[in-house]
Amino acid sequence: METTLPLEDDFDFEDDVEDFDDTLNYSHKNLNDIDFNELLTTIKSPNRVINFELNSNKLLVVPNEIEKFQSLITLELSNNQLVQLPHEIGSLKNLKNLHLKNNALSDLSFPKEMLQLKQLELINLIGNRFKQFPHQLFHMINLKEIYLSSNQITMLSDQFQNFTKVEVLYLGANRIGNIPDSIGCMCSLIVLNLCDNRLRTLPRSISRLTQLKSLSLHNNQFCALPPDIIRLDLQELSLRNNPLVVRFVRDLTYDVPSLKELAARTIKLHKINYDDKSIPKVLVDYLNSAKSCLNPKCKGVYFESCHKSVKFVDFCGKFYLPLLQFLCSPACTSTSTCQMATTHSDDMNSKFRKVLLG
Amino acid sequence: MTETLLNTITHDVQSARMKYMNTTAHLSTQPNSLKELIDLIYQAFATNEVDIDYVRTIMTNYKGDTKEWQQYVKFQPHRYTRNLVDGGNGKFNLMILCWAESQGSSIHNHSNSHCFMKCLQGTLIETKFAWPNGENEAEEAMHEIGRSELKDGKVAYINDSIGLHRVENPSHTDTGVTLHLYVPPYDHCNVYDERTGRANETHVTFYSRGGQLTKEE
Repeated sequence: METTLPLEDDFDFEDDVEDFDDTLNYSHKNLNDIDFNELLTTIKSPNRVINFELNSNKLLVVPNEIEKFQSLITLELSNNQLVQLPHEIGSLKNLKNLHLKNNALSDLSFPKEMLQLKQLELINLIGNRFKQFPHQLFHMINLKEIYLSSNQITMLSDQFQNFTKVEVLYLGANRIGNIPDSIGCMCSLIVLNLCDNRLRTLPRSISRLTQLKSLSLHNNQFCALPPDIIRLDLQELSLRNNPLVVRFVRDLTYDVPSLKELAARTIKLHKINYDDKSIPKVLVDYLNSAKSCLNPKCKGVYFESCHKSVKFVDFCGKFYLPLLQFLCSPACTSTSTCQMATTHSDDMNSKFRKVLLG
Repeated sequence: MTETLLNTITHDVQSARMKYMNTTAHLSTQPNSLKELIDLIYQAFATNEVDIDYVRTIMTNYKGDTKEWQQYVKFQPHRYTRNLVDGGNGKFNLMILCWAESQGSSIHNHSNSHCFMKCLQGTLIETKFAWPNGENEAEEAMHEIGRSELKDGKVAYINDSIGLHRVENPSHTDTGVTLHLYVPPYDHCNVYDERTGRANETHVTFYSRGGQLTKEE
């Protein structure tokens, strides 16, 4: 696979008699570190290499000599045994695509020089040992594709607002329990893969992902989805192997609102004036935190005690989704909360009316 | 086991057995290339009878070379792709399906056709489901009747009388490629909601035909 890409200024015919091949393919060659070092010393004009393919070898380290490959745009190091990246990686000012799939990289593997790779557009870290989302990536504002599937990531920090150019985000097969709100800032996102995690819900900001076309949510713990999801124009949505309504409907409790909440609701409903001269500031903040009932006919609000109901919605004519609605009281559900009839006892039917997600 | 494509009832068991002996006995069972496999399939379907065991045998025996099917292998980030290899003059469809990491199909039926599926690359999981109970209006979750792994050239067979299935690539690191043979071809099938058993008819399209991208949606 040695295609010669046209070089930008190749007018010096005296320089090279033969064609310079700017793609070096040393993949699947059983190279170990010693072989690799030898190999690097034999390469003429390393500063003109654009694609370097070293995948499927037995490399444990990337030698410092890599810094000589200043023109490198794509570095393919997948399927090796890398534990760390060298400091010199930061000197590759033209590097756009970094492939590191199936190695042994973890949270301490990136040197601080990694932050210098501000022009990086694709990073593939599938099948490594990250327990956290590599924070260095948050500073790489030119990233378009991030692949982090099959790691051991348990949580995501709320720093996704910088990823405004990211089009593809793969986070499948990790241990993520929650998606932060800032995911809604990823306005260029087209493909979002969250399958095989421990997700129970999505943030409402997901509805801001207007470019999103593919959403993988299968093999999680979803009981219902935020109603805003119907604003998306998806081509593909996977929801299989989630407990969804079948399981959650059996757990039911209904927390009666506190006196404080009832008083606050009345104040908001009757538009009674308040300010921090008449009541303590903490109550002013509480009153300001009121959320509106989703029932369009109800002008009510709620604070902590809301009735969460599940409504099945036909989505794009293809999917029949359970959507979660926040209502101020069970009386606000005009139709029965769940259209899913069961062949079990009437008990289930009455439970449907008093449903509250845990 | 021979099955007649069109709905003809054979009263004469003897003549049925003779037909079985004649249709494919003379044919090779060892296709050495994709082209040979296609030739054998054309010959096997020269009559209106489908010798399921024979087809299964040649599909299994076809070892193949990745170079042979490279032009049909096209991955997409949104969903798996269906790439037509041979339209079988309307008698069958041979296609290659490409499953990127973690992609899967919905639960579907096979519109009264035979479906043979061979794993060319990676590992796929086939989950079989019983037909939903269409009698009453009540919706209930679909019932899984089997799950199997498909890899290393193994061939799976399904038709509507066996049940419905979902195929998926469970891997997050590897892609999957499968070779499918449908007899006769179909362009509509039903997809099923696992939670409720509700069916929706859907139009099946090709991402590419003969290696060329189509504009079908």
